Amino acid sequence: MSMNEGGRRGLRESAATFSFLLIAAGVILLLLSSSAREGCNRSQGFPPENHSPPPLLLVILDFNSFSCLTCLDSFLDFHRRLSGTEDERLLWGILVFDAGREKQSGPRFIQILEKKLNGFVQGNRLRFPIIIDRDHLFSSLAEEGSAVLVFDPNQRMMRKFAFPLRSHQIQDILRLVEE
Amino acid sequence: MSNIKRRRNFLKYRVWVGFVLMGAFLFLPLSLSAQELKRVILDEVLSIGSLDGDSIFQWTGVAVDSASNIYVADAMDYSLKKFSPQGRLLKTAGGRGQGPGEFTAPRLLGCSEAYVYATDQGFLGLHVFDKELNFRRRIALIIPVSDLKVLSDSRFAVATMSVDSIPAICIYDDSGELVRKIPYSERKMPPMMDSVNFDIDGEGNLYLAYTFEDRIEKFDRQGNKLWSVSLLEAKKVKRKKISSYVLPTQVMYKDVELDSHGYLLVLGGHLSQNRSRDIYVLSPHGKLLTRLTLPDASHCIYIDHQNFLYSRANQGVTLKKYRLHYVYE
Repeated sequence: MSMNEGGRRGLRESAATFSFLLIAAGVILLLLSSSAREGCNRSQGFPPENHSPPPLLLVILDFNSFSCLTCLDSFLDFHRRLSGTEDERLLWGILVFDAGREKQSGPRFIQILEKKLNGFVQGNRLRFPIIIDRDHLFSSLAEEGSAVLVFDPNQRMMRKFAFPLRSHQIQDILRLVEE
Repeated sequence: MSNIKRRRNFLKYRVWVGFVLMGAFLFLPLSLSAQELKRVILDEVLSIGSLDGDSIFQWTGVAVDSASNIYVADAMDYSLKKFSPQGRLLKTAGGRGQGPGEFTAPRLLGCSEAYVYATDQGFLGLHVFDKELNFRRRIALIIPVSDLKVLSDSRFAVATMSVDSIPAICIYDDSGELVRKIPYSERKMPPMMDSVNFDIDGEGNLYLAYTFEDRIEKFDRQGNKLWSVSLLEAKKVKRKKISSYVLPTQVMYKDVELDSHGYLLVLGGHLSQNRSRDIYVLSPHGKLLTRLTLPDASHCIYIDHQNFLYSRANQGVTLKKYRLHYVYE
C-alpha cells in the first residue's frame, strides 16, 4: 500500500469516526434535552412522568429517489405533520449518495452535494439537521432509496418505512414516537 | 498613341477590373459556403453559479431573451431565476407549491419576445411568466411535455410522451389549442422509445434526436421524412423490466439544437465516447461534420439568438456560456 493510499484510508477512517461521533452526539443531545424537559417539569412542581427517553427518527434521504414526485410529496407531508410539534426535535436526516458517482466526479462532489442540499433545505423550508453520509455508513439502510427509520431509546431500529410514505404509515410513525 | 486610343484602353481596363471585382464579390461567399466545417471550438465567456454562492443550486432548464438576459429553472429550490447578460442575479420567482407561479419540479424553459414559458413535472402544461418573472397564466395540456420550443408569442411546439398514440410534435397557440401535429412515426412505439428532443428551423423543418435510439431525423413542414442517420453504429441502450413495462435505463441522445448557420448540434448521452459531453455537429443534410466535447457533462444544450451555447457544469450547480468558433477546411 502506498503512503497516499494509507493516508487516504486514515482520513476515511477518521471521517467515519467523526460521522459516528456526530450522530452519537445528536442522540445524546436528544436524550439530554428530554431529561432536561423532565427536570423542568419536576422543578415546576409537576409530578414526575414515568417515561423513558424518546426514540429517534432518522430520515435517509437520497436525491435519486426524489425524482419520484410521490416520494418527495410524502416526505414533505411527513415533515409538515411533524413541524411545530415536540417530535420535530427527534428528527435527523442522513443524505446518502452513490459512491460510484463520487469516484467519477472527483473531489468537488461533496461540495456540489452540500450546495444541492442547501438548495433543497431552503426550497422545502426544512428545519431539522441533515448530515451527508460521506463514508457510506448508512448505505445498507438506503438500498431501497429514501426511508424513515424509527430507533428506540436504546438505539435499536424498531421500524423502517420506505418512501413513498402512505398516510397510514405517517400515522404509524407518529404513534411510535408518541408511545 | 492618340488620346482617344489611350482613353479607350483605359476604359477597357476599368471594365475588366470591374468584372474581376464583381466576380470576386459574387463567388467569394459561395466558395466560403462550399468550404466544409472542420472543427468547432468552444470559448467560455461566462460562468454563472459557483460552489460557494447561492445563485444556482441545480438548474434544469435555460432560455435567453433577445436582450441576452438568461432565465434558469432551478429544481432544488423550485424557482425561476433571471440573470443579466453579465450573469448577475436580477430576480427569483416561484417556490414550491401548486399555486399560481409555483412549481413542484421545474424542468424546461422557453422564451418569446414577451414571455417566459416553463414546464413543471407535476403539472400537465406550461406556466407563463412575463420578462420580469411575474406569473401571467397557465396553459393546460392533456399530455406530459418532454421537450419544448417556443416559436413566437402565440405559438409553441412540444414533444410529448404518450403510450397510446402515434408519436408527434404538437404545435399549440397561446390558449393551448392544438394548431398542428407533425407525426414522426407511422406506428405506436414501445413505452418511452418514441421520446425525442427536437428543434425547428425557419422554414418549419423539424429535426429530431431520439432519446433512447440511435436515430437523428429531419422532416419537412408537411411531415415528410427527409433523412435519418445513426451516429453510434446503431448501438442499443440497456433496458430493464419495471412492473409490466420494459423501460430504457440509458440515454442515447440528450438534446438537439440548431445554430445560426443551420448546423445541427446533437448532445450524446451514456453511449457516447465522452458520456454526456460529446456534441455531434451535422450539416442540414444530415452529414456528420465534426464532434466537439464539452468540458463537463450536461443534460442539455441551448443556443441563443447570438449563437452562444449554454451547458451544464458541476452537475447543475453551474451554467456555462460559450462562444462557438467555426474552423473551415
